[in-house]
Amino acid sequence: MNNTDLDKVLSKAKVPEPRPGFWDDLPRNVQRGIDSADRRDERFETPGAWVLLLRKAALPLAFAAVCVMIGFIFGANSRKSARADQAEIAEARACWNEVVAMFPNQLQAIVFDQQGSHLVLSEQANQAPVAPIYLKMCDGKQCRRFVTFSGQQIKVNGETFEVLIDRQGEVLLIGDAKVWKSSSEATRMGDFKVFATSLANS
Amino acid sequence: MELTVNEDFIREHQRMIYSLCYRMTGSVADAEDLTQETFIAAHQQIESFRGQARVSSWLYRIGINRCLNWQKKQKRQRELHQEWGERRELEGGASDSARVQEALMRLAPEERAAVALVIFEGQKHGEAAAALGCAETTVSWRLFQARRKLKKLLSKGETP
Repeated sequence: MNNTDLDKVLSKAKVPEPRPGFWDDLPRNVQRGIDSADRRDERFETPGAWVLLLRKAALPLAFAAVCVMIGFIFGANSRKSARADQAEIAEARACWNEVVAMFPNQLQAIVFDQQGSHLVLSEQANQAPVAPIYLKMCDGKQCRRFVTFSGQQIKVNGETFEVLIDRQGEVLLIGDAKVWKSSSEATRMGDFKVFATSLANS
Repeated sequence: MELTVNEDFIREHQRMIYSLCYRMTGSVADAEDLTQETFIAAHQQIESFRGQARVSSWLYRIGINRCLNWQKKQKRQRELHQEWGERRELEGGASDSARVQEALMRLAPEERAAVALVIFEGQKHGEAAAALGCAETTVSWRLFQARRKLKKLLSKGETP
């Protein structure tokens, strides 16, 4: 299915009618809602004691919720390894090919993480078209996958790494005080388990 | 340009906003409520309308924000999917429209918003970006992701 076919299928999908009388009642109901909101605004011009109490409790409650959420995210991802399987690489390559066509010479990286996939684009269409690199970095808590290319910088946990590739297709990852090579036996770079390959070769 | 949320204004834009809300929620009842809320919010935010913008773009922005906020509060998406499934069983097979809406409901809300504005409402990427308060490239990216997912979900022989 191509985009045109998809758009045709989507545009044929009808929106069901609302309940009978909805259109006739709507202006009146909106007016009623406006009047009611105006009255409410007048009533709550000064916050009551319970509102102040709620405001006081909001911050600790929000903090606790954030802590629980962070704990859950870290726990859920602790078992993820740095081994990149062929399906992930194939998916990354397909995604790269399609995105490059959408943003020619603008794409710096595609980042895959827990929140989904994100694009890093340059403001100008000045990125040289070179072979993409697939990179996976896991810190024991979570894994991030990137599709990027030689000369780009990526950020993981606040640390910046430069990604390079040589003529043999060997990937180099250069951190602040460490270097990792895809040809080396080591799968670790500091706190990270790393896997990298040129998408041109794999 | 003086703008008033009166009966004529509502009648002129009600279907547009209702369609948007339905695409975003997949529920007639919620779309009705959000349509009403959108016009009330439009009245309350009337001062934010700048004459040079299109009224529809301004109203889309209010509507889409109501829908996205609704998504955040919404905790019954699973029930909604179940509802769709049950309805489909009752109908003895989903209609094409129902299949499309079910597939839409499986997208992330931001992706669904991009589809609703660009594909269903015919907005340009830039206009949709203004309504969503994001960059044009973000809209393009969300559409790209949404299209990939929708193609998978709506491909022949697959049940979304």
